[in-house]
Parts: sequence; structure tokens; C-alpha cells
Amino acid sequence: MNAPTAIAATPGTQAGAGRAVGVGVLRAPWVGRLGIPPVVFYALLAALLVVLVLYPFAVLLTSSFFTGQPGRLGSFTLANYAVWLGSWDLLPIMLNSMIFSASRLVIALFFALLFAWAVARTNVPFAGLMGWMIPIPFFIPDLLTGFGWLMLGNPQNGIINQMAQQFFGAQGPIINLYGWGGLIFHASLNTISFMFLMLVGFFKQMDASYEEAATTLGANKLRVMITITFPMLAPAILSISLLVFIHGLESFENPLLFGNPGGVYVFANEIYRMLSYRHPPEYGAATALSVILIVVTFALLVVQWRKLGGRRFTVITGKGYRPTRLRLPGALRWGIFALFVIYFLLAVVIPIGQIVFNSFFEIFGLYGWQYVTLKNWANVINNSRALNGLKNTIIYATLAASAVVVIGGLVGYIRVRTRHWLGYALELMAWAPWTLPGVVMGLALLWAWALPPQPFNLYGTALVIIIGFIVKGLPLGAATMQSAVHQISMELEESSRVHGGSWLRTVRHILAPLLRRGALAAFVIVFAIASRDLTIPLLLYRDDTETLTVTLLHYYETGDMGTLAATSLIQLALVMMLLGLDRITREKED
Amino acid sequence: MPDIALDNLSKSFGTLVAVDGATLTAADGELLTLLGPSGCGKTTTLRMIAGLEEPSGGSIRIGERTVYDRARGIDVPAEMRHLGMVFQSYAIWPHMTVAENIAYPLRMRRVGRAGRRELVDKVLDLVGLTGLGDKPSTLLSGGQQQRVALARALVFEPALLLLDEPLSNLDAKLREQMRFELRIMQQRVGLTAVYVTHDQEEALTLSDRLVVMNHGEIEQIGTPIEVYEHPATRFVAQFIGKGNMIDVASGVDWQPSGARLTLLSAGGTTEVHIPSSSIRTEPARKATAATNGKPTPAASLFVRPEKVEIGNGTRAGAKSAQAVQLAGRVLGRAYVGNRAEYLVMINDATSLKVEASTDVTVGAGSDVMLSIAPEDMVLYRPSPQ
Repeated sequence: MNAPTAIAATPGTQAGAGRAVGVGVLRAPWVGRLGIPPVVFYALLAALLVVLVLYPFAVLLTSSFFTGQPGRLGSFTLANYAVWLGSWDLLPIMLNSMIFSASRLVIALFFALLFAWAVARTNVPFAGLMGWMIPIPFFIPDLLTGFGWLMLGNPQNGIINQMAQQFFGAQGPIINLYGWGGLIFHASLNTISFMFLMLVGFFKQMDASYEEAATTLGANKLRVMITITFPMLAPAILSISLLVFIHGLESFENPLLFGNPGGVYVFANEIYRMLSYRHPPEYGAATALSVILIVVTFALLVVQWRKLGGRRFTVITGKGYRPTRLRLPGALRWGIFALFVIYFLLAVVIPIGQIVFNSFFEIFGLYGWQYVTLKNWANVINNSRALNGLKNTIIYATLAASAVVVIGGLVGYIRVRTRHWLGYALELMAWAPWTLPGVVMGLALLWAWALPPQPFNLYGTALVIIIGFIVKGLPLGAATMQSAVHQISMELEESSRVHGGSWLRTVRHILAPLLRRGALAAFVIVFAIASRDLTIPLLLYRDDTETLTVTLLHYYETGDMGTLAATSLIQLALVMMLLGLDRITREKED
Repeated sequence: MPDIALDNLSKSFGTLVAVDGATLTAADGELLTLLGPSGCGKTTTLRMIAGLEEPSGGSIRIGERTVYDRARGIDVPAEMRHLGMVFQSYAIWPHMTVAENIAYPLRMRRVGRAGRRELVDKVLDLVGLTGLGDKPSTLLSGGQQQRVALARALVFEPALLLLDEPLSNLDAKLREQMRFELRIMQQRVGLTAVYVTHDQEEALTLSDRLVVMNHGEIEQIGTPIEVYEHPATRFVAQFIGKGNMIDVASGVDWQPSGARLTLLSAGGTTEVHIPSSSIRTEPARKATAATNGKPTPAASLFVRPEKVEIGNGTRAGAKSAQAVQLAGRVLGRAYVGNRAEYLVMINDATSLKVEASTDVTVGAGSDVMLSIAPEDMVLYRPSPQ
């Protein structure tokens, strides 16, 4: 370790004798700098992102003008677009999507605002508990709670309907979750949680001095809420609402589970229908519809930028904040709390409880002590399909999350620390898949990686699913890494450089340890996104690359509810593990 | 300890010229302060010395060693320059203990474990943090962080100590205390130091010499006394200490021996003669910069508030017969402990700040007579390009 040659003599050595500090002038060992200019490195990273992100976009767009199918382009045609634009077929899909997305948004916004405001700004009972529990549904995949609710509320043999007929003598089904009702109901549950998560921070961190100013000018607390608090948060609320609306247009699981059996088709399940339920699959029409969906979402995004780009109210200063909590009358306090309890029952306890319950019965709906069995669990463990799915999910999600942490870290570092224009280009590319619907992404990757000749033809390989997870996880993963880099003061790195640390040693001793927490957070986020994703593997899997979500859908479609329930709980355990990990990393950050 | 010399050092960011041909030297063991308002280029200059910013031109020599020379293609990377630096935020690494922070430069120089411990303990004693080595650095107070940053910058006997506004994050009391401690430590270690600050009081009390910068250019280099007593430019006069700048729109009679001009006050016009030794000519461009783009007056007369005597009634107790007498009315008076500050209006366009001992008691609204000795005035004249 102690290399005497490093402490070389320099002109200062003689003068150093008798100084208060040090044994002599110490010199840093000369480490040769790599001869490669950093721009080359940026360009290589940009090239990687072009291949990962832009290339599938481009192929999707191109193939929408061709007659072929993945692996073979065929000849040029406009017929794919004629299917949609030359008929009235697009109209119901467009209308259904808008109605679905808008009603989901309105319902979720109302409850999310109520809960966020109550938790952050009022004396609602158990505010801390509510703040902790309302985000939980967001972490539970729609697929699982959807299965739970469909077991309970399908019109043929849903448990609620069975019980109604058995105990109360109902003639037909009293509840039917197929179609619009079930679709909007179930999609709203998860969205409330997501919007709460986005909004509660704004309510909590809003600078109290704006409200205090209104109070000193004679407004009572309720008037302050109405005239100051909500209007000031309006841009944030609007921005989040637009985002939720756009995501509504892309959602797949709910339309698939609740829409399909009720004949409600929006963009995502219509695209999937053309690919999977038609023989032969109508690749051309599906691809054209995908491009139309991209255009619609992009137009909405432009609206979001235009409307909100210039005027963001700066209300989040975080300083000088003292919670000014509104004292609500008792009935209102407990009323809001009761709503929360009902919400949590509907969003988590009832559907998950149903799955847990069902996992111990062999025949769906035949519940009684004499039927309790562990057969389903044995089935899951002995039948390699579920375990193989779990194994694949963990491997693919781990690899994708690791890749995103590395790519996102590099993109974030270049973007934050350099002024090079490629930094912006990299950020933009990493962010681009943000609003790309999962089904569209799957289809684009299918086209893109079935097209090239061997050995670049990745069709049917695990790699193409991993690439899909990387692309899907990149926007949030890169943003997380970027903010992690952002939080590290540049002076911490510069201080290392000045005091003798080369670039490489600065990365090793300073940057890497300081980024560890952010990297863990990014890893967890991407792993969570990947492990719960259905659309990408659904379009890209083959038997041996099936993920757990695909396995789940298979059991649902074959009606094997016992095995479905047990397998769902494995998926849930994976999710809960992540939730715990996420909470731990977050608490450490605070 | 080595000296440092910058020669025609420049830096531009695109079209913005941050530092425009800075040439200066700091002698062995000297504490040189770069002083100026934010955006004047002082921090950029320091960062170029440190090797954190690549200059656009010029050269930097530290001791015998040229660390940067545009013309000769020399650019020694930051980690090879062997400098100690205290950052504005202190840049104490939060994932390391105090001792690990301080030992970092030694580790980078492959000093063994025993050697590291010895040097760290020594420097902890020096900065008054004996025994705190094992403390996690996140638990330090602002003053302690400052000391750790200093210890880290000193522990490896750097060629030069760089300080980037090291006191600006401390509260006022602590700042004053640390100012003296910093100076004492720098002198004890005998290091040449370059210190950046925007706080003129800090610069005056701390420096051997100071370099006043504005808009990327050096306005004046000198000892604190030189800079305060003989400000070379209008900018320096106004930036350092308090001052009155009386714009003279026209009617200046420039002669080889000096300048004659008339001042309008409540008592009528007063003839003023300024000897040529008190006239500073500066490029019109700089003068414009100092007036924030307003049209440059023909000349500006500068006098410090404490050099203006204030007296009741018709005549102030003038020191000399040539003293300029100006009649005026007191607009306001502020008591600041050992002295009082006045704002006196001498004509519709001009008010002067005056400082006097608290013996003199004139209230707001009273008519007073001001007296200024000619040698206490400086006349700034924009050169006709």
C-alpha cells in the first residue's frame, strides 16, 4: 500500500521541514488519462439508446405501411390505415377509450384529492395510518385484484352472486363486473392510490406562508383552502390528471379482464384482440391502430407541455412550513375515515382475501370445512410451470433493473454534470417510452427484433423480453438515477479531484458510495415495473420464456381458479417484498 | 512554499467572457483575495487554478511548475496539481468519518495506514478538533465542517491553499471568529493562499493583498489600505466601503495641474480644484459598466462619508483653508453605536452620506454645513477611448 516512490521529492520538500503539518510534500501518482474524448463515450451511449428505444419505434411506424408480419415486411400498402380511417370502426374504440379514461380519472381524482387533503391538511383520525396505507393498492398489480374481484363478481358463478342466490333467493346475478361497471370500478381503485401518492406531497410541502398571508388578511381556514390552497395546487393537479388520463388510454389489464367479456373494447385490448383472437393475426391493422394510439397520446402530451410548461407555480419551498390543520366537525372527520376504510376493503382486503381464501379450496365456489385443501399449493410447487414463470420473472427483472441502473446512471450523470447537447438527447430518449403503451411496446419490439438476420434476430429469446423490460423501466429508472446524481453536490466530486483522486478513484470512492441508495431505489422501481408487467412478455414469450404474469393469465383463461389463486399469492409475495424494500430505502433517505 | 502566477488567463462560456485576461501573482506565503460581486469571475479564476475549469487561454504557474499553458499545450489535471481546497459547501463526504475525510488526500497519495493516522491526528490538533476523528461527518456543526474541510486541505502539505467563499455558510458571529482563526492557521502553516469572497469586510481584514474584479476584469490589485484609500476606479470606490459619488455633468475645466469644477449646493455654487494626483482616468467602457449602462457623466467626484465633516449653522470646523464648503439639509440621521450616519441633501439631485462622531448632534431637517478637504476627494474621468 505504502509506495515510497509516490512521496517524491519536489522543490517544496526542503521548505516543508518544520512545518506544522506533514512529513514532506506528497505527490499524487500519475495515472494516465484515457486518450478517448468523452464525446465518443456519450455517442456510444446514445447509439445504445437509439437501438433500444428509437429503432423499435421506427420499425413499428414502417411496418404499419406494409402487408407482412413480424419477420417479413411484405409489400407497401395503405390498407392497414384504411381499416381504421376508411370506416367507422375507429370511432367506438376512440369513444370507449375516452369514456373509460375520463370516468376513471374523475372518480379517482375526487377520492385522491379528498384523501390527500384530509391526510395532509385536516385532523382526520389516524392520518398517519391513512397516509401509509392508501398508497398500498398502487403496489399491488391490477391483475391480482382483478382476479379477486372477478372471482367474486362475475355474473355466472361469482361468489357474491352464488351467495345471493343461495341465501337470499335472488333469481339472477345481482352483480355483474363484466363490462363498463366492473371496468371503471376496478380501474379507479388503483388510480386513487396512484393519484394520492402524487398529490399528497404537494399538500404536505406547500409553503404555509401563502396560506398564513390569507389568514392574516381575514380569511377563515376553510376559505383559505378554497381560495388559496386548491387554486395554487391547480397546475399540479391538472398535470397529474392529464398524465392519468393518458395512462388510461394505454391500460391493458383492466380492459382485458373486465372489458373483453362485456364487449367493451378500448385501444389496448382491441390491438391485442387483433393479434391473438383472430386467425390469422391481423398484424397490419393492429400495427396501424398502435400508431394511431401513439399519435393520440403524443398529441395529449403536447397539450400537457403547452398548458403547463410555462406556468408552474412555485409553491414547494419546503421551508418555514408548519402544518396548519383544519379542524373538521366530528361527523366529517369520521365520515372521511369511513370512506378510507371502505376504500381499503375494496382495493385490497376483499379481493386479496378472496384469492387467499380460494387458494385453499380445490373447486371454485365450493367452500366448506370439508373441502379445505393444500392441493393447489402442492400443484404450484410440483407443476414446474408456475415456478419456471417465477424464475424467469426474477431473472429478467433483475437483469433489466441492473441494466437500467447502469444506463440511467450514465445518462443522469452526463445530463446533470455536462453541458453537452447529447445529454439532452440521451435524457429525451430515456424518457421517450414513458407514454408508450405496453401493448404497443410489445408489438414494436416484436416487429423490431424479428426483422434482423441472425444472429441479431432475437425473436423468441429471453433477451427480447429483457430488452422490453429495460425500455419499459428506463423512463422512471433513469429519472430516479438522475435525481440521485442531482442530489450529490458537484463539489463533493471536485473536492476529490483537487485532493488527488483521479476520475476513476473519484467514481469508486465518492460517487459510487453516494449513489448506492439512489441506485437501490431505481433498481426496486424497475424490478417492480418489470415483475408485474403482462403486456410485453404476453406478446414476446415462448413456452420456455413465460413469465409469472403470463402464467397467471393462462390459469385464468383455462378456469383453473385454485392454481390461479395460489400462483397469484406467489406474485403478491414478490410484490410485497419489493414494497418492503422500497419502504426501507425511502426511510433511509429521510 | 511556492508562489503563483497567472498570466493573461481567460475563460469564456460561449459568447460570455467570464474572465478576461487575468494577470496576477501571489508571493510565497501570501494570502491573496479575489474580491468582487457575484458573476465577476473570481470563482471561475479560482477553479481554473484548481484545474476544475479549463481556461480558454493564458497560463498558470505554481512555484516552478507550469500547470496550464494554452500555447504550450500544458494542462495538468486537477488531481496532479497538488493543491488543497476548501469549498463553499465544504464538500465533506457524508459517507465517511471525519478522519476518513481528512485522510482521503493521503490515501490518494498512497500513504500507509500508520502515516495517515499520524498526519490526521496532527492536523486535527491544528484545527482544534482533537479526538473527533471517528465522528460521522454528518453529525458535525457548520463550524466543525469548516474546520474539517480546512484540515483536509492542509493535511498533505499542498503547494497552494485555495478557499472558495469558505465562510459564507456560517452565521455572522462564527464567521468573524473563523476569519481570524483561518488567518492565523494560514500564517502558521506558511502556505500561499488564494481566497475568494464577495464580502469586502472579510477581504480587507484577511488579506495581504486583494484583487478586485468586475465583469471578468481585474480593476485593482493592492494591499487593503491601498485599495480602500486610493481606489483606482469608480467601481472599486463604490464596491469597497461606503462612498459618495457625485456626478458632474459638465463644466469641468481640465488643466495639466488638475481640474476645476463647480458644485451646486444649497448655499450657491462652490468652486472645487482637484490636483492631478487625485484624478483617475479610466476607459469609458469600464465607467459605463460601473454606472449600469446609464450615460457616463463628464466626471465623478468621490469622497468617503467619514471624510466629510458636518457642522451646525454656516461653517463646519474645516481642517484647511482650501476645504470645500457645501451647505445642505439633513434628511435623516441614524445612530450606529460609536458614530452617527447622516444623509444630507446638498441640491435637488445630490445627497451625501456623512459619518460623524456622536458628539455632533444635528437632527433631521436642520441646515448644516459640510466641509471636505480637497485631498480626500478623487475625481474619476472617463478617457475618450
